Amino acid sequence: MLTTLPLAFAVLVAGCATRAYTPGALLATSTLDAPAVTVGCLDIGVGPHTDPEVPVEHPAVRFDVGNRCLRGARVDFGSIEAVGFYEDGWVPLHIRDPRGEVHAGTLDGRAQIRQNFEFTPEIPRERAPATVCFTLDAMTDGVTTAGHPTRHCIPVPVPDQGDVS
Amino acid sequence: MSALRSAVVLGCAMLATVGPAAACAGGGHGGGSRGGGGRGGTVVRGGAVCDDVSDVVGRIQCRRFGDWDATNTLPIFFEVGTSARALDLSSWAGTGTASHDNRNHSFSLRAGTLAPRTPLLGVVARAGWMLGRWAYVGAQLDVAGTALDGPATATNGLVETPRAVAGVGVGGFAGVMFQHGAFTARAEVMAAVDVDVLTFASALGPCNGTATSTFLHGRIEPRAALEARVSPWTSVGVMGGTNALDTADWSASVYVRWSLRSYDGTAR
Repeated sequence: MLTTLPLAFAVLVAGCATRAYTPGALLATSTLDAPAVTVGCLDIGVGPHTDPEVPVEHPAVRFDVGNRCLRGARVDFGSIEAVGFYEDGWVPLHIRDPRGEVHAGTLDGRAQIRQNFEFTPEIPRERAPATVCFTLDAMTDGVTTAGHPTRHCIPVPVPDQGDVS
Repeated sequence: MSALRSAVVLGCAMLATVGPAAACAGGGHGGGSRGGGGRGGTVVRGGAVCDDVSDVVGRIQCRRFGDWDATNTLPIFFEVGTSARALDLSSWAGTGTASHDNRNHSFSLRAGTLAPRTPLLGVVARAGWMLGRWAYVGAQLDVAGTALDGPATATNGLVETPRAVAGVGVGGFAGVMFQHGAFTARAEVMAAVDVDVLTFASALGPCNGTATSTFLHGRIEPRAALEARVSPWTSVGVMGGTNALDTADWSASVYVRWSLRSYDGTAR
């Protein structure tokens, strides 16, 4: 048994050493269709998400969040301000949260998560918006705006009705 | 210290058991411690299988939002590793009985019969709780053993030859830790109760069998450890210490450590 322990050690260490988020990793994958920004300790990647359960007029958006810091960082998806550009202009969007479960939490140091959200327009629409923009300043602590909010308004192409599979 | 050691030695209990040999009837004994990505998924909850058809918050049925929230995670760590111990068997003494042909035969083990530093190899498992940034407490279980080869002792024709020793230790520890970069230094004290079982080959004339003697003793072990972090949640380390009650006893281990919180939840 003792001869197998070093091998077991190596497997366990290797298996547990792959979870850490590397600061900037999400930024490195940033594209026009799936941009990423840094807000405080957080690298935030945003991209369109498709889900057959979500109506096409409700944009579904993927948020990848990585903590650049060693300490835990507050993540509050509920603070995201979103607007969608529909055929008749910009309409505020809200995270669909029928159970009221979305709350702020602490993302562990160097941890990474992915959450997909469905956004509903404040005024009902029949088609998907062409673009969705987000303001992410309030998602975490330690973001100094000094009276001039740094707005990360990220255009996210949302798949049209015909693109949803 | 010698008085303390004598007290510990005197406090040791010795039990002996003789297993029945194939050719001999009878037996005997004597006296002497993460975040929701991925599409849908199947979750087993409360014993029932739950299939999610969506991975969009608000449509997920099987998982709660915020399972990544570290404030819900206890500052607990776990360690497993290999251990090496040196056990001072020279102070072990006691009497017991062995059973051959349905008759009990007394035998004795005198102090000084066995080697003073007998190396044992085994495994160790620990679990602990961070108390703030610097301190921690926890519990440990270690199992170790080794083969022995005598010397034989003869008492009234009964020949007992030590063949193996195995020990189980259960204890608690408290310590402090200092982190610098990827390295962590720890100093701690462990108090444990060890149950060590000595196995003999027992012979009386043509009748052969085995006997086991159990010794119970305490261990108070100041220890030091050095760890290297391989991920925010994982470290590898080496630890060593000496039994303050018997400085001939020492232990060392190489281990892997997992923390439920990254950096033990202590990074600022």
